[in-house]
Amino acid sequence: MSGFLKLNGLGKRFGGLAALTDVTFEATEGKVTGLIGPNGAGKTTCFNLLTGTFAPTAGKVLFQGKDITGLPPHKVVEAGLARTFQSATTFPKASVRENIMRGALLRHPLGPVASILGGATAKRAVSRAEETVVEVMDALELTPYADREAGTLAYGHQKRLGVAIGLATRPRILLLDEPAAGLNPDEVDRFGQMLTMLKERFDLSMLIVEHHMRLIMRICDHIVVLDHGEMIAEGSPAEIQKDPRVIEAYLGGDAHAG
Amino acid sequence: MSTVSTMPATGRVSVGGAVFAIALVVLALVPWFTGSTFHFHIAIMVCLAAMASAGLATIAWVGQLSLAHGAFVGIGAYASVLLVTRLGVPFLIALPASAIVAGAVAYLIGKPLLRLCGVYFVLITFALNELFRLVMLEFPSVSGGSSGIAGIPKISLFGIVLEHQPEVYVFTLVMLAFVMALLWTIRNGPLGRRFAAVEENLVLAEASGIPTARTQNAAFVIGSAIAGFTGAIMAHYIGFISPESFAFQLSVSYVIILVTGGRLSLAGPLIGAIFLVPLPEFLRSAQQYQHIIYGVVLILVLRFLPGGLAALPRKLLGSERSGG
Ligand SMILES: Nc1ncnc2c1ncn2[C@@H]1O[C@H](COP(=O)(O)OP(=O)(O)O)[C@@H](O)[C@H]1O
Ligand SMILES: [Mg+2]
Repeated sequence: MSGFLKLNGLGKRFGGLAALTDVTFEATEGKVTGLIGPNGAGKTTCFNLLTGTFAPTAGKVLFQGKDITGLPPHKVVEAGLARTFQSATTFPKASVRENIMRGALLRHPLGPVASILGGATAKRAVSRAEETVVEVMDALELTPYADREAGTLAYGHQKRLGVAIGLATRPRILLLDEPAAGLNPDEVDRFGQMLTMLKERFDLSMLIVEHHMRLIMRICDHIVVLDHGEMIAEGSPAEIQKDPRVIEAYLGGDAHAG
Repeated sequence: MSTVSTMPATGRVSVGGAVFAIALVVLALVPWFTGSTFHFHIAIMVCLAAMASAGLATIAWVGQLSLAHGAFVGIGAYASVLLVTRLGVPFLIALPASAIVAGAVAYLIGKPLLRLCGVYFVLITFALNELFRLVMLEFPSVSGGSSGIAGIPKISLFGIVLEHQPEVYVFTLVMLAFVMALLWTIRNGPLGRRFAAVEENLVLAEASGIPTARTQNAAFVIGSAIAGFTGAIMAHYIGFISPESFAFQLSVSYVIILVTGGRLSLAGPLIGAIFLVPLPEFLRSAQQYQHIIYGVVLILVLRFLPGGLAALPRKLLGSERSGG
């Protein structure tokens, strides 16, 4: 057991501010791990450290036994760790299909000549990546919008497109930063079912940051709680719901709880 | 087919595209209709400005604006002139060599520089353009100092010297067509797709597995190499260069041509150059006001046509559709 995705004493300081301190946990293969905590607790920072957006000021990230600390983001994705962003981020001027294609092409690399001048090899790569695009679009129910410009989609669809782009890179684990934020309660339920389906269909593990407690408690196998950049608890959804520190720091004052 | 269908922005207005192509051909033939040497000269200058601006456009496609573009034209010009006059290298070899020299310089400085984004990159490239001018002035044995290098041999191909404007014009047109065809190929290929991704959303591009730093540097190298290529032709056509020929005003005029024409389309640099280069030339008495004229045009375009003149047909069609 070399572990799947391991965070080892991870820390990040921004000048004088300790955004994250000594965070150690493991996201298990094939499971959904939740990362929760009040606003400003350091969840997004944790994602940024995992995916290479920032270098940590302390600690290590191990993925499938490999030290991926400090790799640039595009290398981290290549290693099989894809992320989505808290805000709806897409390539706004490209079609939905093209957005997903840009992720899918990661698994169809080209040599320098073909990547500059195109030609038959490049065409073949695109048509093979097309299979992934079609599959991902179907799974996220984006097929009807395939030729729409991403920037013109409704907010909820843009968020789903963000997930689709990440999924198209064929990750082993998908990191989702508040994917259900801004959705109405019906949409949140539908989205939860969609995530469960994606996990089976694409044989995924997930690490998910969310404020919708109902969603978190339903889909997570394991939950890690952050507060002021520190881990204050971890355990099963049932354990977390009962933990007095968590209730005090987070659940107690939150309308979504229960 | 598949690349066209996934990048609708490039292949949408096919009728408009045909009209545009015919208009270009007719415009390109104008000097032969009039037979005026002056018109041939202007046509050559339009081609050269379009070529250099197309290089600048390549850099703009990854979301960066270089104010050192004039210096890269200068690097190419000096590289070619020195190769031809000092080492006796034939022009046809010096020409691609000057593109390679400019591209190599861009590669070396691009790596650290492109970490800077937006206005910081603009400012540092502005400073580099001045640095180029000042350094060249410091080495008169290479650059000719402030009096420059005169009497540069004319363009010569396989021993045939292009003495007259019409011949130079044909050569420049062919070179421009070559550069535009190359950029079209790149733009519609895998690298162009990465350029677009980086321009639209750098952070997401990186998170999707695109090496954004390398992609931006590729655009910078290609764009600057095209600038060097242009510089070589320019130097051997005009016959005189000095460090002042490549001062930052030249960079600014390329930026204005690009923004006026349309910074994100392939046709933008062509349209910008066709529109702006002849303007001060025809207003001979107003030539000292070139920068004012350019400035006014730039302000008008930014205010009323942020997509540049290349976006004009679509804008007109779009408003027609919503009106009807
Ligand atoms: N790039 C940054 N520079 C400085 N401070 C930051 C940066 N990113 C996050 N922080 C700070 O780190 C803390 C944690 O932020 P964040 O990780 O976004 O929290 P969460 O996602 O849990 O709401 C906050 O105090 C925030 O202001
Ligand atoms: Mg956050």
